[in-house]
Amino acid sequence: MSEDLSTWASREYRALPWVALLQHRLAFFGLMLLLVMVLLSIFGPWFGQDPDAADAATIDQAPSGTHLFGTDHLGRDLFARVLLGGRLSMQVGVFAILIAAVLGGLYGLVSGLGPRWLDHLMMQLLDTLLSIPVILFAVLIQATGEPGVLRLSIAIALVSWMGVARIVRTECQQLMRTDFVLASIASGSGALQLVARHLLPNIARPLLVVLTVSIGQALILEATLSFLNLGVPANIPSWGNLLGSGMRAALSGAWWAVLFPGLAIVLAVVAINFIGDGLRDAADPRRRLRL
Amino acid sequence: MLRFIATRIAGVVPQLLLVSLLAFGIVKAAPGDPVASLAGGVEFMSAADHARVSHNLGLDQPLPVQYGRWLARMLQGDWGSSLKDGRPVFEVVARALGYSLLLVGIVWTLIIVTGIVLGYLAGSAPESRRDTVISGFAALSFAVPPFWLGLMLIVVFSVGLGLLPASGSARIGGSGSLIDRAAHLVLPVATLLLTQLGPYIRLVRSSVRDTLSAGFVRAARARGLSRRTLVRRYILPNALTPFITWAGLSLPLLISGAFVVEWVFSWPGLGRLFLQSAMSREYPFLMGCVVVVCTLVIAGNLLADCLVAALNPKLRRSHAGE
Repeated sequence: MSEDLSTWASREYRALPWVALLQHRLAFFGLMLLLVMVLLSIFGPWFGQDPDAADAATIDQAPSGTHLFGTDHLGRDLFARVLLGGRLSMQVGVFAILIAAVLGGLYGLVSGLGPRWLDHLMMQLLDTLLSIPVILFAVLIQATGEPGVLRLSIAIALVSWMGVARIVRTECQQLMRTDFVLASIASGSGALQLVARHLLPNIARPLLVVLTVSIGQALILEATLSFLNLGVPANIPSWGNLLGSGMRAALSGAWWAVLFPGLAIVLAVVAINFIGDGLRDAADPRRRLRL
Repeated sequence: MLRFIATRIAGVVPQLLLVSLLAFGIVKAAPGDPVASLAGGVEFMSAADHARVSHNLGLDQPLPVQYGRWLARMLQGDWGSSLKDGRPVFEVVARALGYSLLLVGIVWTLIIVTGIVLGYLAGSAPESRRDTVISGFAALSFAVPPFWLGLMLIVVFSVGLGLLPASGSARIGGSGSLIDRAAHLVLPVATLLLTQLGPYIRLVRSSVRDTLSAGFVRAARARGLSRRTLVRRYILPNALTPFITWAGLSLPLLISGAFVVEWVFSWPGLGRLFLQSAMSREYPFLMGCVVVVCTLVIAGNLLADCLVAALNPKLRRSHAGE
């Protein structure tokens, strides 16, 4: 009986953050919004109009029933192009942050678990890297090579891993002082076991918050670099590329060419940030009680 | 205090060196041959010419030697000249820096004032409608790409309504009157203010909230002090200490936020110069911009550290190891 109760309690405890996340109004809203956007950009291009079909008869048309978001300078349907662009932008964002998670995670682990002098050195390096403005860093990386999807993802990862590294390092150092970690060390567990069984599971929640918010920032960075022609090659639609190629049209009055791709970015980032807020509140029992 | 400042300045030197090394390294790692691009391509140059030009530019030396020479020249103020049209880098960068400081300076002042006011309004009445509106605005400002807001403002106010100029710092061929110059600043300043304000509001809000529930504020209130004294003597000084650090630390965000906005509005500042040089592979300008921006950022951090230490004696002592 008591055994049942304890497994029940531990399962309940594990489920709580997810329940809390779904009960968090803004996070739930963000989750739904993002889900709709992801589904639309995955499946939308298959059902809607052809995003690459140029039509001389429909150049620069304002939004209407047939073209919800209007058309671009080649008469292509912007609704279809925004959906297709979302596919690439979100891919780049998620991929970049996955790379950043690995990079930052390793850096943070080494810094957090290594000797003090190494930690000091690595944090000094991190501070210096953090003092370089992100855009400057990313443009430098991008300007030294040909544009490409993989290259862009790596560039975004290279400017985004520092936040992850800092969180992992701080959490590691705090965890290393806790009794259960000390007990595990005393009972002879090796470094790998320590990291896999005790450190990573306990870092996962704060890490998830940082990574979520970073994906939003990566989306904005992708848009910025592609807008400047320093991101995705111009022939592939992404939200940033659509803004870049729509700028000229917008300056002669075709506002829809920049309004809709931009709104897509804003909505996606707002949704992601809401989820991030929800995760943060869910990971913090004190905040969870207030909900 | 002097000792504290000296320690901090000593800590800045390796940072600056690292930044310079990074700037040098990334540009050196770039593909493409700067010598050949002078003549428009390798095929337009004989091997002997190529070797001669490389030698004149010092590009045939080993990398550490090139770095050492470059650093020495940078320190003497000789930043070289454009590989394409011979414009002196130092002067062009200094000119652009002036425009950038004007823009970012105005935005920074406005942001600090509005950030404190809005953050206080939100934080002093948690969970009220006022708080919801202000916090909602802050959340939105995190999510809006600055260059896109700039484009939208141009579309509405320049293209649509024809009220404000969309590009440059003054009307071309105009007399350059103060009103004309101010009109050119309105849209870039508004864009930056609206998109960069979020973190400032959040910080002031949460720290005002925390201070309000602190024991010493309750005690002061219990003593019957007027709300005015309470806010000015007790709440704001304590709530704003983290804000000062942030105001210095946030300089990179503001400068990098301004980069693409300068580009959109053709504002002749550092950001536009940097992006143009990146696109046309003008290495000397790229390096110049990187060094100037990073130095500014490091200086901002240093200033913030010293200000906070001046306000908080505890920190000063612990850092100086007394």
